[in-house]
Amino acid sequence: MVGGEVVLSLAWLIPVFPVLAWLIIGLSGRKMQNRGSGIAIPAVLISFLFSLAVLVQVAQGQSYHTSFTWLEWPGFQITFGFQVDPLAAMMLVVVTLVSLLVQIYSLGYMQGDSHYSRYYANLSLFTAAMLTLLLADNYLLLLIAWELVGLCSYLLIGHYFRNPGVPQAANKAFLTTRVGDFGFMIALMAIFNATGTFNFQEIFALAQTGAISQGTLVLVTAGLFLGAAGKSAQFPFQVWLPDAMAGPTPVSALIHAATMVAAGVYLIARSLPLYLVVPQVMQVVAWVGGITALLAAAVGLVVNDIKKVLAYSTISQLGYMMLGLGVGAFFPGVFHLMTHAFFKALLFLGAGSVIHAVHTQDMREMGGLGRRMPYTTLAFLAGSLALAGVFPFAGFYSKDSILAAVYASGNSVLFWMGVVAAILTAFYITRAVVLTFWHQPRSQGAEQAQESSPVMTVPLLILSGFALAAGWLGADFSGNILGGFLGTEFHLPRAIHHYVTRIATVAALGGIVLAIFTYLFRWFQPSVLTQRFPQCYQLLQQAYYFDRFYNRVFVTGTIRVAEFVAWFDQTVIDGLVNAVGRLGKNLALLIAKIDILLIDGFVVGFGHSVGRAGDRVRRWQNGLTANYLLSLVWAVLISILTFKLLG
Amino acid sequence: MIPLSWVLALAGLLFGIGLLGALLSTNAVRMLICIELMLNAVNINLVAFSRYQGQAHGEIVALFAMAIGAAEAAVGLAIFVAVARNSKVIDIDKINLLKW
Amino acid sequence: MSFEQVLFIIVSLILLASALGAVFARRIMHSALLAVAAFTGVGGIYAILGSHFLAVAQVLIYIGAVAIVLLFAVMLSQQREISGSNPVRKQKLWKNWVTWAAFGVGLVMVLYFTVNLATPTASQEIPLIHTEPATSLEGLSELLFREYLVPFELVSLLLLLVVIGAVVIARKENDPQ
Repeated sequence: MVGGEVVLSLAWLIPVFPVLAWLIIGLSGRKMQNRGSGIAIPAVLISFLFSLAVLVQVAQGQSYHTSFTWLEWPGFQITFGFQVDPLAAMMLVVVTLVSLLVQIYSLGYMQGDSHYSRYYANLSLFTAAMLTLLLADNYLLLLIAWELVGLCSYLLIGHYFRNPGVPQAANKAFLTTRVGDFGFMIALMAIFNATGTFNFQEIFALAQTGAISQGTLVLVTAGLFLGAAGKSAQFPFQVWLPDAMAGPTPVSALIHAATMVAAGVYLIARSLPLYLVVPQVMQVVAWVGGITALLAAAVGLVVNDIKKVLAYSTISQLGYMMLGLGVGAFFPGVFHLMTHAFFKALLFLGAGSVIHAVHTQDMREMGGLGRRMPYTTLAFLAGSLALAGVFPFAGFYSKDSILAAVYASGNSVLFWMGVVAAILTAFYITRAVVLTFWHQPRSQGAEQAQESSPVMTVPLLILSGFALAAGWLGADFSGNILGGFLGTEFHLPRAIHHYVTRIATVAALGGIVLAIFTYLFRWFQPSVLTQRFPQCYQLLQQAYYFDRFYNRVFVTGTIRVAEFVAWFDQTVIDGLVNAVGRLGKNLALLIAKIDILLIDGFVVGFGHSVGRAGDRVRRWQNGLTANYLLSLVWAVLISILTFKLLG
Repeated sequence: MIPLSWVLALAGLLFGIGLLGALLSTNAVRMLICIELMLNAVNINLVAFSRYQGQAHGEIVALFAMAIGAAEAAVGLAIFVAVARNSKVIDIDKINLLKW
Repeated sequence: MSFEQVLFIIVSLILLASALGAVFARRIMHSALLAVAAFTGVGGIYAILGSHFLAVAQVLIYIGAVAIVLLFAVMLSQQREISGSNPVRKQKLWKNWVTWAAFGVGLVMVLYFTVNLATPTASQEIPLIHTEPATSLEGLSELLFREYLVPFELVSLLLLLVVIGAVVIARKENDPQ
């Protein structure tokens, strides 16, 4: 219908509202004070409603694509544009919804913050950038939005920049993702070199007709994956995410759980047509995802900071998504992306609520909050069950589909890695729940904790609903609405699907039960294990010493190089320059000296030599008569001889 | 009939002796004697050639030489006497006020 | 060998010996006396060669005047004899190769020329001095007062000057005579 066309054609406005909010808040400066949220939230709300409208249109089979020329010179043309297809439409809704809920939540959480408006401005900018990323129809625009998102992450992590360690955390996040972005840019250059365009559709078409060489495609996909691994904190780039927890918790919820980190997964999902042509790279993606999922989950077992648990959990779950995409399962990967956005945001916001009430992030100082903060507890439980993958919560369906896809791809190692990771996931999240909400308070803060205000709890409950129901969209019993919507086919033989489901459920329940026995009933003491295997414990505690390694190799290395270059510049180059200067000066002096010496020497020397010659000659007159006589004799003799000889 | 060469040889030898003495002696008077010897040798030469040619020109010149030589000897000895008044011993090397 | 030649050789030997003696004598007086002998010898040579006038003039001038002055000088300068002056300078000059080189060269030249003259060649005979006839006195005086008149006058002037000069030089300072 006509209205629908209009809606879609104006879809590019969706990011504009948050941008306007950012501009208004930003330019108002100090005058905004605490009114920033009044600008930002309505902007996001409008974007959300708009996104819903777009979703409705796309669900009716519509899609939209437009582009305009940005740069043109002989032989080349770079176009920009945006496209609205099912994947983008779904992500738009997810991002705007979560952003909206987070911003509402922040009304309570960030109350009294001295930089309230700056926070909202940055959040708005971030939302705008993320939305632009989703709407981009070409890699170049995507990259621009990608970088912008990274910038906002830096700004938001560094919100409390006066606190110790915070600026470093922000730097770390930015720099680590930058390394990955390097790969992204190489990929872009290779793509443009091979195809002359950045546009998705054109590139995919060319790839499918085999117009792009295998080598180029490997380079491109590898480069893109590098960027995605950086953004999505996969191994070996995962080091920035735990440190990013230094930012405000709502930021962690929005950016580092639901959206920004998902951008990497989104990129791979978008580029899947390219990946399908290079199976070896897909293998790499799957393995990296699987390893990340397993190892990160293991670290989550031993951390005591509730936010860090969730951070490692995010890394692990992103690994799952990569694993899914890596085996070519577009739907499971994207499905899990969606469900994870909801339940991870929920978990973070719940943790934020706890932190806000107890004023600590260390779970060892919590406890007994179940009685004191019922809504929060409920929400958090919902999120935990979703994360663990328990029926009928969302995570069950999405994780299940991924595991099924992995199993179906035939790679049993990866499959069992995923299963073990699932066990660990269930274990660590149950541990977190028990430590936080059960037993008695272990500190004064926990004792005096109170439930948070509705402005915080309502978003929690809304998200809990999604954590429960979101999975149903992709479930078989509902006919896989989501799958149909996204236009992907995902069918597995029932037998396999059931088999996998059983194993996944056993894994999840097993993990939960184990954790309950350990922490709730206290039948096992974890300290026994930690004392028996201290190196193992240390290894996990230090997150496999990645930080220490990177620090020593790259940071110190770079500093050394910088020092060397500085030394080189000062000593060698400056020395060289100075030496040349000195040389010039000395040369000039030398020439002056030579000049004086030569010319004066010549003149004076001439006089001197005459004097000296005269001096020597006058000694002839020694007063000895006989000498004079002898000279006479000789003179005569020689004259005679000469005359005689000359005739 | 005396061979010319004999006379020339004699004159040459006499001159050489005189010259030797003039160079080697320190005493002023001895020096003068040697100079006179040299003069005489030259005169012998002149006379020899003059007689050989049959002309008398050489003899005249020799005569003049004799006269002048005598005059010079007189003056020189006068000087030496004047110098000898102070030092009593005339060492030719000591008369060196004109040296550099 | 004629009588004249023998005589010549004898006289020249005496002459040379006296000359050597005059040069190398230890005492000046001996040297002066030997010089007188040498002068005499020279006069003899003149006579043998046929210049009788010159021989007489030689004796008159040299022995009669120069030798006397010499002796006077010797005597005046030896009033207080101090270990005698060394006859020969004991100096570098005596050892000096330059001196002896000069003599060497000179000797070679002299010998060369005299031998040249003494050896008869195909074209001419060896030059001989005819001792007879002797130079006539008239011829000499003719020459002297005709062609050599101006030199004659000049020399006499010179002699005058020399006399005056010698007197001036040799007289005592504080004697205004």
